[in-house]
Amino acid sequence: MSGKTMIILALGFSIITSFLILKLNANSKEGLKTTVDHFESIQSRLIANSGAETYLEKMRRNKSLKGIFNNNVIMGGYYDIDISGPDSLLTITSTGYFDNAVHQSIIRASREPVELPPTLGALYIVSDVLGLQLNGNLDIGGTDKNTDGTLGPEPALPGVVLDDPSDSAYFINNIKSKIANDIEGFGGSPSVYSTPDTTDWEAVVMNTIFAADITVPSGTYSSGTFGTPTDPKITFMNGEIHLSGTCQGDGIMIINGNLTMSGDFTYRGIILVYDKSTIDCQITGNGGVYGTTILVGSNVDLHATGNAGFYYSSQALKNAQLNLKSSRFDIASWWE
Amino acid sequence: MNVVLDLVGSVIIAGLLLLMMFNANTYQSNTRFASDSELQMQQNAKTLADIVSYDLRKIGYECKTNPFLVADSERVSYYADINRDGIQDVVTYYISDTTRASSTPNPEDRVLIRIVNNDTIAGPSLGLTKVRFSYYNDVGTPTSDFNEIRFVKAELWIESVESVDNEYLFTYWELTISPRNI
Repeated sequence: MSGKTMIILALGFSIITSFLILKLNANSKEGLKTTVDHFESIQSRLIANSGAETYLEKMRRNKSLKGIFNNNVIMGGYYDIDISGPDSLLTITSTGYFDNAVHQSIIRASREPVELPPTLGALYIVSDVLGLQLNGNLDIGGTDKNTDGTLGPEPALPGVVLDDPSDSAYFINNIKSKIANDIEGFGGSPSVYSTPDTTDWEAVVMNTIFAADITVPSGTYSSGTFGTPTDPKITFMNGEIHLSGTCQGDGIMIINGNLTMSGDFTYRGIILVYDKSTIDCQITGNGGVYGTTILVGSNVDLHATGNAGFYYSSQALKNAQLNLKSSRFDIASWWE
Repeated sequence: MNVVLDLVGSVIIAGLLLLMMFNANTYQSNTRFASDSELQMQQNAKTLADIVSYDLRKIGYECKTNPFLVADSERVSYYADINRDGIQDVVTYYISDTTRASSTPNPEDRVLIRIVNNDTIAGPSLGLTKVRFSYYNDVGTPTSDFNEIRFVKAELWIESVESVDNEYLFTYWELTISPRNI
């Protein structure tokens, strides 16, 4: 056999083998591309969903968060967010990018309203053991009063409500006649009634703390504002709290611990003092609470001197309900 | 005489070499065909999985009540605003019998039927031979109670449309989806 024939045969085999290898390589690449495309598609969807969830969490903390936020890097890709609409009809559009894959998730949601604790009177005390030491010119009014001191539109509530009939009897029997006359509201003076407590206070407190706008530690606060009438806040105070001076606020104030009020501290909304064990509540000075004040604990000691006032105010409560924003969202639909 | 022997020998050797070349070419063709079939099956499986995944993720979208109409192993039917036009659609998935895909060489393949309202969409077979839907509650226990369904699992059995060496290539694709709107 000649050398030429050998060369022709060798070339022929080489060409056939090369075609085969090229074809197998091409198919292998195409198969890999199919797998990679699928992975990228899934990854872009996960990025878009993660972006939406991340911004829902941010909106929980920043209650006025709206707008467009682009190029948020995550999981080897990035996402763009567009938050629009009022709190009652939010649209969150999250577009995830991963290499060549793009995925859009569209979420319709609404911010749930704040669940206010029940309002039964100007002062509501829930306790197993009650200690009282009320002096001075304490003024407790269940008659609806606006925050400017004028009469409100709603029917009067009791001035003081306790969770047990024996507590209300104890309360009436342990206050001076002058203070008894100053506890006004539903039924006349002293307006002291009892209502069985059916509220899960820990749940109420936890839900409210979850939505807190302001969180402050133990200490004395003699100035500053914890919300305004046009922008009420949910304030969470943890520990020994002393509110004094010209300090004031609007909204809901949760105090997990003991409270001392002095000076001209004024609050419009709900003050809820809560502790599983003992609450020591000392009230001096000339401050006032318009709305409702709630004391919840296994032992509640209430000491009052000075000219402090506790008034039921439907105006302050409605303002809180209308303007406070919760941190919970109702997800109406999620397109992914 | 030697010349004749040389010629005969050369012809035999040349014939053997040509036969080898022919065999190599045939082998190359078969391998290419098998590789093409495998690639096509892989792409078909991905296409089917993408379609099913896309639609199952929309279960209950913009639906205020329980979205399930049918939820058994061979058929799933549910409400969803599948085209985001603000109108509820009824989406149904099930698998046809083998006659629907009788034009393909594979005797076992079927067609995945997708019905949106009354509009039936049945594409090519794509080698699908079996589909099974199963439903799970929030802790992963199988359930048939529509109100408890939180996860939907779709299992797809896919074969190559054409046989390779008298056998059909086979693959299995499983996807478990937690629709966000239920």
